[in-house]
Amino acid sequence: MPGTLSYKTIAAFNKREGKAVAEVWDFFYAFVFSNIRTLTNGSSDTRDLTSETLAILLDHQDHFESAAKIRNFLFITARNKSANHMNRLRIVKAHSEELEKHYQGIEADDLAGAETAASLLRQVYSAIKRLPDKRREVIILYNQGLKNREIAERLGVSQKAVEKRKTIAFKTLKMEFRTSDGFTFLIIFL
Amino acid sequence: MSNPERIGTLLFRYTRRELTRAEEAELSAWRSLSPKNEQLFQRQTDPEHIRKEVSLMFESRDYVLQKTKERYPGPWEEETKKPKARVYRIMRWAAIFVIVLGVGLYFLLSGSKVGRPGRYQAELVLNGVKITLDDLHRGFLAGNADIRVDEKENGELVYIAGNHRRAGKEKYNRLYTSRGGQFSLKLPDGTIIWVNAETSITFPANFSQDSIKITVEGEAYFEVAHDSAHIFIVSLLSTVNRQPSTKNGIQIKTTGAHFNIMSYADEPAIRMTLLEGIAEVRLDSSQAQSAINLSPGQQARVTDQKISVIPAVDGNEIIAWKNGKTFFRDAPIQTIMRTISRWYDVDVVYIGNIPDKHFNLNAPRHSNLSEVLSILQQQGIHVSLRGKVITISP
Repeated sequence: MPGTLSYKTIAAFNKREGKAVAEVWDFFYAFVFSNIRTLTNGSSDTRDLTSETLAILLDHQDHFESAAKIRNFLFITARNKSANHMNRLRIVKAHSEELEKHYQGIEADDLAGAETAASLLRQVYSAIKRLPDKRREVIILYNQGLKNREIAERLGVSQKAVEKRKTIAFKTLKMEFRTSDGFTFLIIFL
Repeated sequence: MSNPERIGTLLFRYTRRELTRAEEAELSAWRSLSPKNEQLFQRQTDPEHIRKEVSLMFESRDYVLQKTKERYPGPWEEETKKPKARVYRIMRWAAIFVIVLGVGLYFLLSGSKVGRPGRYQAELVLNGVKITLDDLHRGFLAGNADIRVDEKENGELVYIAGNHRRAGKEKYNRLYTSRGGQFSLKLPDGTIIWVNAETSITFPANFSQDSIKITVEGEAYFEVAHDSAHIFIVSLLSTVNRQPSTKNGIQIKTTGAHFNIMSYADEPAIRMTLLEGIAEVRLDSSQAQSAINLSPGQQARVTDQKISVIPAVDGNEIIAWKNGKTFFRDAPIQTIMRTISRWYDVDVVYIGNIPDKHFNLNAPRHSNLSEVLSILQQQGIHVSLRGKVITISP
């Protein structure tokens, strides 16, 4: 798994030391969230299921040898949670055609596909998270669909400052984002 | 289906336009494997989709964190929030001032830094701009995706080279170390090069080409990625015994090998040791042309325009430097001292008739010079250190 969780952190996590618990949570949050979101077809319960999955990991007594082992544990837990959730929906609203269709969609959905999508989204999330505070703020607000003027107002800075931070952030991310009006930023890098 | 984590990484690199040609082929093979994969590719790389999903993750983070804490009330210690920018800036300058003052005082009180081992430090020349890579500068470089320096579990620092596909194919970047410096370099195909002290490496900015041409002057250990789709052609820009006799004349051609190159100008021979895989060593000069194929455990030595092959060498001894050791078995004092002078940044002077005797040395690279010299002294040779000069006498 790209990115790092040092052996020291994993050892401290096995003892459930506070700092390591927070670090591991932070490291896997995006992974669990995007897996559950895909497996439940974008359910609005994704947030609760994510917190339940991560809490199960923290409560779990076993020792983990590596980040990969934690990842596998979380993936299986997320998959089971999502499957239970979808089953529940099916039982409660067995006659709802719409949900039935969703359910079938998930059944057919490839677990590996969900994992692939989660891997990509986790890496984008981490790349944005690594940005310095000011640039990250701008990118998060921009991703929410805010215009430069609105971002400037929200942060109490000039529009020029917003544009500058955004440009540098995009260069760092080397990524193409499209606003809702279809305008595309193409980032030219070295 | 292929490893989802790997495909996820390829998709990520695709959105950043970072794929090498080999990676492009890998991704396209996966896409054509099933219509479902193609569908997944189209959907997941749609910028609008990524924007929405990632945005939701950031929006939901605080809520999920709060809920997890409610479910798991055990110890939890988040990183303290950074102080406000202005205060932070003042604190940073104050910290720098204290460090500078401390370092100054150290030199004033201790006289010098002579005898301290080398450290992870290198200079990177990227598009003509020189950047210092070391632990101190790492923090300043963080967040700049073009200059990424990672720290490995063992504390080694490694520069992660990017693939600049729009750069000209003849465009090269350079990483070099001075005496007392060491660094690692990870290339876009996963190949890792450990760079010893007083060494210079040039490598292409654009990795989307079949042959990767690299030049080495000094000592470097290569672990070419097994799945690398590139042919590596390593040229040694070196002179033997300070005579520019073999300049540009030695080439190593390989696809997936592990090998060490030692081509310092003050060494009596250029040595290339193969630890894994196969490699061809070619000597091409005005006076001679020859080529040999090396097998693992063999060493090619180039002296006086000739290649000779040592059939079995101890690989561990050859790459001890890379594994954090200064290791010699049955070696002349001059050979040992050349390595010591590079790592501890000292000069060596010989007085009188130095006996033709061989020495052993096995010390961690982080040992102080005095510890290393005392090991040699115990084996019956006089060694003294004054300033930056070691004097060896019988």
